[in-house]
Amino acid sequence: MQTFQHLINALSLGSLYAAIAIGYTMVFSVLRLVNFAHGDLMMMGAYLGYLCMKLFSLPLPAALAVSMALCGGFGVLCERFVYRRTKDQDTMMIAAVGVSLILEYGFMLLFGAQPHVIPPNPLSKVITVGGVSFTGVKLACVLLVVVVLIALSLLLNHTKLGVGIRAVASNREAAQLCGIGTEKPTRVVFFLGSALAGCAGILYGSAFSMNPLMGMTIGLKAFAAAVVGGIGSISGAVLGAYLMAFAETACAVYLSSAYKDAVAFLILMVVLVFFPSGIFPKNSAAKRS
Amino acid sequence: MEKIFRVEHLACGYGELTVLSDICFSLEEGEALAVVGINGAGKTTLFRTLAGLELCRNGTIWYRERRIEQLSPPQRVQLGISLVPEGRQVFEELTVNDNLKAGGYLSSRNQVMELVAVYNQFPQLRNLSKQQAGYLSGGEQQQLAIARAMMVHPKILLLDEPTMGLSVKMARIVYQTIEQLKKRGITILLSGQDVAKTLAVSDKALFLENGRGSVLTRTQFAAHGFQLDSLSLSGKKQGN
Repeated sequence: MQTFQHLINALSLGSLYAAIAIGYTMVFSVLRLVNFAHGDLMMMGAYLGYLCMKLFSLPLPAALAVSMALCGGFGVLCERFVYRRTKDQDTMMIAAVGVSLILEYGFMLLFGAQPHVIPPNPLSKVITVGGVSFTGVKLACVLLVVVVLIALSLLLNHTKLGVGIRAVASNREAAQLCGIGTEKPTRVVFFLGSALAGCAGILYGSAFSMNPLMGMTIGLKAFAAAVVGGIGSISGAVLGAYLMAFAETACAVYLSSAYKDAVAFLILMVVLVFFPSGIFPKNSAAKRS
Repeated sequence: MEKIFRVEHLACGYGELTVLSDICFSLEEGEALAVVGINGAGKTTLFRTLAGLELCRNGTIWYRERRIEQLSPPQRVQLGISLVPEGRQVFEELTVNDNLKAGGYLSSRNQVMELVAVYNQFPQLRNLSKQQAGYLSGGEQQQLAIARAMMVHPKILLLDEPTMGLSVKMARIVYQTIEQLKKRGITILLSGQDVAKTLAVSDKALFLENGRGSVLTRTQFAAHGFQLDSLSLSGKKQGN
């Protein structure tokens, strides 16, 4: 029974990482940017959710909607006024680090360094099935990833905008030559990725305590998951996230929870030695002539 | 006949470097212009500038009665100017079908009908519709790149080195395709390593040399005493 409990814990943790890793990998696809501020958008989402529920007494769905919309909007503004103005990939990445630091210390200034907890909500309820207990948050994390994967699959494969996003991700210049303005697909990707991070933030804040620097560690782990899976590939990011979460949980159970953070990066190093493009790289075909 | 495309005193380049200056030519509807020059003469720079990928430093580009040198690449595509770039640049991760759908991104017509029409025009692509474009042969990719450009019904097609790296057989198919497009009234600018074949499908030629360009019709070209196949890839004349 305990094994089931651990599996469920790993599954929900993996889902949380996956929600963030999907945003990382999508942004990387369209802009070739490792958005180091992405984890901090998750933190921002958690704090916005906290504000909505604690100060404005909004119900959870409304808090989720507000938080996701604001995080999405913030992501779009960052793309428009920060990343788009940089001249190359290197300065863009440094700008992302800058945005990350501004968010972390901005929120520290506003909320202080002490941890906060999102007020109890319907997701905090403990559900017990056959001796295995889990909170609604854990179930919501798993459902979130399932819903996001279905929605993204529909968007990317069955809409005109989706074709545009995939074209921009594949070859930005060629996309322009097809008449696809690169701004809109990039904006949509930033909005979706950032909103998803905001949603993950509220879920995280409902399960654990939050602090302004929490986005750094979780963001780095999600980034590692995206790289392990093969950055640029959505399914790779999800599988990488679950791999990391299961390894972390196994480490906490069988070794010590003190080493679990190191395990994530150990996996990253080992995987990159044997699979430099990740385990499930973006389906990139070699050009023959 | 109405001039569909006019370039006047165009100057273009990269960074500090000016590659071409004072380029002038004009084209009527359905005409084909061969852009000829040695490697590094500025053919690709010219194509990229005409498509809007590089900034026009000086001069004007006219599409019918409209100045277009300030327009972005998607705006130029919307007007009907499509570039099939050097190296094909198909979307490697996307299937042939999705490449074509991306090509028709701006088209407001029924996409299914458009796909059927393009597959009829490029029948060899029909059987490859579900295939990932990166796994196609060079010739198939070139066909796909042209077919993708055709999805927006271009009035002017810019073909930069469409036969580069292709076998003789595949190159012949590409030239046949170009002939067909010309017959349909599409104005074409093309460059190619095989100068003779490039000129053979063209009505006139723009010779790029030392950063300048001069336009010659086929008659003028012959009158100047050049042989169509006398320009080698190194730029030296092989004989008179």
